[in-house]
Amino acid sequence: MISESGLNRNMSNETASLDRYRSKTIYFFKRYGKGYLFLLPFAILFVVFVITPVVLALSLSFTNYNIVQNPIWVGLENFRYMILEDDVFLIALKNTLVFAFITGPIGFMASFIFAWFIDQLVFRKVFALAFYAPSITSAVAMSVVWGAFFSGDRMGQINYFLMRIGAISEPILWNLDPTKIMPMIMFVSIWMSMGTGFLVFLAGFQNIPKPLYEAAAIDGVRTRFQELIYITIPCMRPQLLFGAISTITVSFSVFDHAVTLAGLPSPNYAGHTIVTHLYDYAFIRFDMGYASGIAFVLFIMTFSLGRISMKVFASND
Amino acid sequence: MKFLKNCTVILFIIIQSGTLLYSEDGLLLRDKYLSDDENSGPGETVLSGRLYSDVLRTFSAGEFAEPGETRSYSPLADSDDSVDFGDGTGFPWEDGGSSFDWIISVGHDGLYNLSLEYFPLSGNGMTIQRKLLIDGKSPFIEAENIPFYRMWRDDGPVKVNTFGDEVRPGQVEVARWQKSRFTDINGLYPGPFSFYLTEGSHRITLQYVDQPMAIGDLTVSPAEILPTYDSYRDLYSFAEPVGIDAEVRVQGEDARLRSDSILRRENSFDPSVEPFSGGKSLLNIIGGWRWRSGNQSISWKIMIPQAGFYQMPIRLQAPFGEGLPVHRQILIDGEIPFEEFREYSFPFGLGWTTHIPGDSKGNPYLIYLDKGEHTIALVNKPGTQRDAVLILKDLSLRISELNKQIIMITGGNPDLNFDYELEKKIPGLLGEFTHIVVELERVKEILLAVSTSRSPIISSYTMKQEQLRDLLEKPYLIPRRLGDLIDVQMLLSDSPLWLQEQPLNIDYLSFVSPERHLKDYKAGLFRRIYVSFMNFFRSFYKEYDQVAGMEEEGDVEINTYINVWVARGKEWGEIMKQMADELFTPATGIGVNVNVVPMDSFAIGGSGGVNSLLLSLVSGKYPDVALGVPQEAPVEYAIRGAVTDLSQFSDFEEVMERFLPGTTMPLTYDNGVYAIPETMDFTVMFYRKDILNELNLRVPSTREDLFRKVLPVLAQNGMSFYYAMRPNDVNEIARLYTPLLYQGDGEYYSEDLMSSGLDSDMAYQAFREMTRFFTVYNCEIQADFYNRFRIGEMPIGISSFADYMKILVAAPELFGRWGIAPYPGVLQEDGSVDRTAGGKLSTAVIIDDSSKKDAAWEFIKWWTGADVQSLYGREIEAVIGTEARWNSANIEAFSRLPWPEEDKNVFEEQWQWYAEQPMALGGYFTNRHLRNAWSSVVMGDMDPRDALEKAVDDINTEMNNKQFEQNRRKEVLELKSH
Repeated sequence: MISESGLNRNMSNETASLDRYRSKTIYFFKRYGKGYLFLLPFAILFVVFVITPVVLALSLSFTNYNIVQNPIWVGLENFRYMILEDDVFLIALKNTLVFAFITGPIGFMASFIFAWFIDQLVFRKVFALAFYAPSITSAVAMSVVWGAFFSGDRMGQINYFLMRIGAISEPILWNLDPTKIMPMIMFVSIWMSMGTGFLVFLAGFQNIPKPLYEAAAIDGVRTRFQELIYITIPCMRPQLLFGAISTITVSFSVFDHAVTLAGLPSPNYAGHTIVTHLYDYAFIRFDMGYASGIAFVLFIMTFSLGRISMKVFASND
Repeated sequence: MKFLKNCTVILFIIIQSGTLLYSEDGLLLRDKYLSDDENSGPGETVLSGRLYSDVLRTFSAGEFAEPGETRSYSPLADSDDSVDFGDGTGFPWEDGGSSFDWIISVGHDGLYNLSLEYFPLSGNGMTIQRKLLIDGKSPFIEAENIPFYRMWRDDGPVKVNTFGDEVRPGQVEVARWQKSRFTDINGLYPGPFSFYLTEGSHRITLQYVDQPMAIGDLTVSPAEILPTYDSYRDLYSFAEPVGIDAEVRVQGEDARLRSDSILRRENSFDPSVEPFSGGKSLLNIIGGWRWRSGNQSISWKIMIPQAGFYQMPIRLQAPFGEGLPVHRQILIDGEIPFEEFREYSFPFGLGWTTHIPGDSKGNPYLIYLDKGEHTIALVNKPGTQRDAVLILKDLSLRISELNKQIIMITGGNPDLNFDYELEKKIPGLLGEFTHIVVELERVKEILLAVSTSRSPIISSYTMKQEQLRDLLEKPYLIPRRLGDLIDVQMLLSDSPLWLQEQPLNIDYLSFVSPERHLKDYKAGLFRRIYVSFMNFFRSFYKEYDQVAGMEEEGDVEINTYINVWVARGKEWGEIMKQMADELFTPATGIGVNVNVVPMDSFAIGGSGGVNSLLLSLVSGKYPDVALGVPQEAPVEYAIRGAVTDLSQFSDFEEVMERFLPGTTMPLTYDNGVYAIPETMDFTVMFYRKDILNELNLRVPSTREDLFRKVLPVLAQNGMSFYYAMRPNDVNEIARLYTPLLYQGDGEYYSEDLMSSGLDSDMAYQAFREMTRFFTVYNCEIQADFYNRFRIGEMPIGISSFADYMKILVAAPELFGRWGIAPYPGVLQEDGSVDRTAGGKLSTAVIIDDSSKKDAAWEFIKWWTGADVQSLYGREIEAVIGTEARWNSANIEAFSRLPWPEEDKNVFEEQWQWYAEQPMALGGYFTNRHLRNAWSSVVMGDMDPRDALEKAVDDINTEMNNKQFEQNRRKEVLELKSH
């Protein structure tokens, strides 16, 4: 712009400024071009698969869109409704946060502790596989298995066992009773949470240089626990960061097993999470505009929590 | 401390004696109700009578009649009524309720066979059945259903489709006079029925059960005694030897006649089968899993060039039996040549083998054949397994009776810390257990004697024996091990079915000179690896989701193709495609492409799947017709303009007459009807006749009866009423609520469908009643009805089609001991009972954007027609089994299915009361919040009125929102169009 106005103002400077302008661009590309070229494949993928959907979702969230007919512009109506009128959204938000703050840390810590244990065992790989198996199996398939365990019938395994030992006299309706649904989903989620994070931790333990432990022993470290606190955890920062972020995303996107175990919508919205709320609007009420709004809010939430974890775990050096 | 312990013991005793008094009280209470109502008392007769096997046992072999007494008799009927059927005259017999009589006379006391000449008249293709009475009495239970089989043949040659695969020709019935001996419909017994007739005249009566036929003469002949193989050989001592080269062969798939339209050409990829399939799917064998039930027969014609004795090698495979052999009766020209062929046993084997029927030493049986054409027929018979089946059937009745008695004492939820002393309270309990253990040993011996490898079924019997022995030693464990006893009951009643199913594949039959020494052969290892590899490779380019079409033929001009998506299993799609190719395309010139999509694809919500129909509309790759759309969906689609209003077609009214009038209700929106029903569920009451009899209860006709008379008695006996719902499906609540609401004259919505109608007093009363089932009568909220019904813990309950089929098919020991009744309703002022109840539909829709709506409508009309639906139902049952019965919404097709007569009457009565939930804008909130209200009351102690009011509030809010949204959309569209 500047060079253009300069062009109009002062004809005599035309060639010089144009030259400078062109050479600057060329200079830039000469200097950094290759780097950007190498960046290009990722940049394209990132734009197509991340930026575009987010932007699209954001723009759809200002409309009323029923999938079949054209979207209608409604402005901030969806967000107004979400914040001011939608009680169920609050339930979903509450459930998700409760879920994330309970299963998230527990799952995270459990992954770490189990990985730490297993790392010291003899048949490391066998145990690793046993712990990792639930999370590679499809959530729906696993939930079907758990569904049989948690069947509200007297013949359901857990009820049968509890009644047999005399702990309860009436069967507990695990998947119908609103007060039992959330604990049940959390339990199954924790069991399934030994996922990627767990594997990364296992790999991380291998990465810690052995001399560090030897040096620490000389410096007076006596117990395994001390090793863990002073050596292992500080060395594991990158893995811990990755684990934390993946745990957060997983906890916020709990859907499959919640639906298979408690149904959609669950009784009194007891197992309603943000993602089930999103699904409810998108594929039961066919209100894609509102669903996009929810998706955007969910995106903002996971994104900011991710930032926070980065702050916490980022290496200072 | 000790004092405390004593106190507990005393307290315990007091509590226990309390329960005992209470249960004695229960009997009194039961009597009280009995005197209360004179009508009450056992209302149902449990199936009684003797089985044929028991009747036959009472006669010794010496009681056969003198030979040579065969005589025929014409029916007692006006000879003017007889009609000529081309190859003979006879009396047409088409109306139910009528009967024919014969007066016969026999010269000696003895056992006789009866046979009848009949001409099958075209009905719906089901087996013709009649009930037999001798001198006005039914001789045994099996005589209630005497089958007369229809015969089927291929309709034209095999065709080739666009993939190069062979396509089965349709099946047509062979209309001609046949003669059939009276036999049992399950094919359990080796020969025809032998009836004991005393000297003198007898009246034989046949009563109509199912399907029309014309009848001719009844023949009475002495019970047949077949020669042994040795005496058979002697009969033909004059036979000349045939040359060593003599060999004729007939391919199995070229069978002439089959007793069932479901028996047909099948495909095998095995390289040793002729003709070899190669890459294509050729129809090169016959039989398979479909040829598993008793009495199913297949017959072939074969030309014999030279008279003489032949051996009879058959290329076959019997891979299904887990080590047990399969049996076939072998008939040559309609007769069993010798006793050994009455039930010939073919060995179990996973691979194809050339089997030469012969004696145990391996010497082939030689069969004498004249020069000329002969018929060979193989009929499915259980053989050795029959003895095991008969024992097991008896045992399953015994164990289910025991379990019932045990549960009557302990209740479904026994106190594990209490010794019920069952062995004293149930006389003969331990004796029965011992009997079962001993008899199971016999069953095992029978099966072990014939099985080649140790069949898993034998191990499971051993396991059950162990469990029973354990209980025999420690009878106090019985209440704790109820689960084990239930398992025993399940195994004993399921396994006779498995044992009787004996499928067999046949590649070819041949007659070969006895002098030839035949060797068995198998395809070489490398050849088999090659073939499997090629099949694997082919799987990459073969389109499996697309069901292949026929190659275009000269006489069928295809003008247009329509795309049909089916949200059902693959078999469902394949059979529909086949039928469309055979019947629909030639008649209309409309080609049909069928795609199978996952079950939940058209559901709203469902189990977290994504609605593929709406997504297909976004992408523009949508079908013309979608089948298997659940009831809630069409209106939701219609609101968004995705599906066509079918009432605009001129013959719409005509088509809708095929269905119950109430079925349009949930498919209607804004005066348009957007779908056509395909299948229809029902809601009826199930009950155990034997248990209700024992409790002296009558099947309740109204809910007042249910609450006042039945539920208290059930509760006292530790049993419960099934009124549960499956979890995880919001729409389940409607199954419970709709009947109560409609019978109380309530409505789901206001008249204009703009607001909820649940704020009425009627709606509240219905809601309160629904919750009282759980809060007051303590019905279980979740339960496995099939299992609990079977063992008698829930002898009565309200459920639907799926449970009906499960009990019908998979609880054989309950046969004749359970029934269904119409929904318990509300007594009206005129004395009738309002039984309104619903039943979920699955439907067919036409996509609004489709450019071939007329063709699509033609297809839907064809598809929902009675003939097509009943044929489809039969085909599905043939492929998958009875449990997959097609509950067609077409009333006529539904009635044609082989329902037990008394159940059919119940369906018909319940149909008169059919009503379903209407659909409104935002109406999906109705079920959701009804369920929420229900949970709050039943599980959260909320007051029913508060809960329902909150639900109505939520429903109305959502309905308003949706109406607002819809209006805004309309306004915007109008603005745009101006």
